[in-house]
Formats: sequence, structure tokens, C-alpha cells
Amino acid sequence: MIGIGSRWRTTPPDEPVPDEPEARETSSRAAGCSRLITTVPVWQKVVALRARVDRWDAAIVGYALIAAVFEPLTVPAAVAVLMPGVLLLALRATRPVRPLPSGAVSPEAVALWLALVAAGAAWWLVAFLWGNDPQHPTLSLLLDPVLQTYPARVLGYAVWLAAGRWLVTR
Amino acid sequence: MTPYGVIATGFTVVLSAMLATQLLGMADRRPFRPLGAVVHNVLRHRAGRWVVLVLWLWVGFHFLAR
Repeated sequence: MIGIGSRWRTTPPDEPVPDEPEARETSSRAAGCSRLITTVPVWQKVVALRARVDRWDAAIVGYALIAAVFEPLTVPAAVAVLMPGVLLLALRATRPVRPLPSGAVSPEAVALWLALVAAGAAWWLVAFLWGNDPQHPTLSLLLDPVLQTYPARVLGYAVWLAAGRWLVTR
Repeated sequence: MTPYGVIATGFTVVLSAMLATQLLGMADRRPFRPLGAVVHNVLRHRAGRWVVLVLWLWVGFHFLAR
């Protein structure tokens, strides 16, 4: 059971189902050794998500809090990015990826995302060739004032490291 | 409109289109798929894996360290 009073829970097959119409209806469709009742409000799903936060999430946030102390354009900032970056790259590049179900991703979906990334890169190139200065900023110049602040850098490191973790765990 | 406005609007349009595609993919509207599923598909190939990882490392370095 996740949280007190939560309806998102698992129950062993021999445990009596609570006397609630919604629970009876849902559990009657369930099979196997446990039953997951998913007819829950959004806030209870958030509680369930919080329960899945593990030590790696804590490590990522901890690392982000420390790494963000170093301002961009300094050697410590470069080391703070390259250390986990190279480590995760080495881990991921040499390991095979879990297979996807057939038909999970259509060529159209890949083409669409490629087109969007190409559009972003083309626009970045336009800004770069147009001036690459405060009047003609690339995306990084636009974000520079934001990333000058510590909280934004913490968020940036956390998101970037979370993406790296995601890549390694596929 | 100033060059700054033109460029900022262009980035906003592209990022909004990416967000819309992501949301439609999460809502399972075909042919849209979430970025994660597409990247996972690319990671299956050795060359694609390297491209994605180097891109990820570059993004981190470019925005947080450079």
C-alpha cells in the first residue's frame, strides 16, 4: 500500500476486497498474485511517483547542488560536466539497449522528430551566422542570463543528469 | 520587429512544436510518439547511440560549462 488512505495499492489474492463499488469493479478485472487499482485521483498518482524516487535521484540532486556552485567558463565547471558525462558515455556506449516492441516507433514519428531537431539546428545556425551577439542571440546566449543564477544551474544540472541516467538505463 | 525578437520567436516556435509533439505522443495520437520512444529506437543502433550520447554531452558542456 502506498500512503495512508491511498486507493492505488496492491493486495494479495486471498485478501478480501474492500467493500467499495469502485474497488470491487476494478479488482474483478484483475488477475495474478497482485492487483493494481488505478482509478485514482491525480494527487494520489503524484504520491505514488514520489514513492518511486530512489537513491540515484538523490545522488543527481546532490551532485547538481554541488556542481552548480561553479560558474560557467571556469575549469571546475568543465570538470563537473565532463566527469559524469564521460563516465555515462563510456557506460552506455558499450552496453546493448533493451529491445522495443515491434512497431513501437513508426518511421513517420522518427522523421517528425528529426525534422523538428533539424529546424532547431537550422534556426540556431541562422542566429549564429546573423551575429551571435546580444542583438542576434543563439539559444545559449538567450539562456545565459538565466543560467547565471544558481537555482537555474541546479535545475539545469539536474535535468541534464536525469537525461543521462535515462540514457544509461534504456 | 528587432532581430532579437525574430530570433527569440523562432526558437519559441520550434520549442513549442517539440512540446506539442511530445504531448500528442504521450496522448498516443498516431503518428506522434514521445521523444523518449524515438531516442530509445535510435539507441538500438551503435552509431545512433554514439550520436545521441555525444549530443547529450555537448548540450551539458555547452550550456553549463562553456
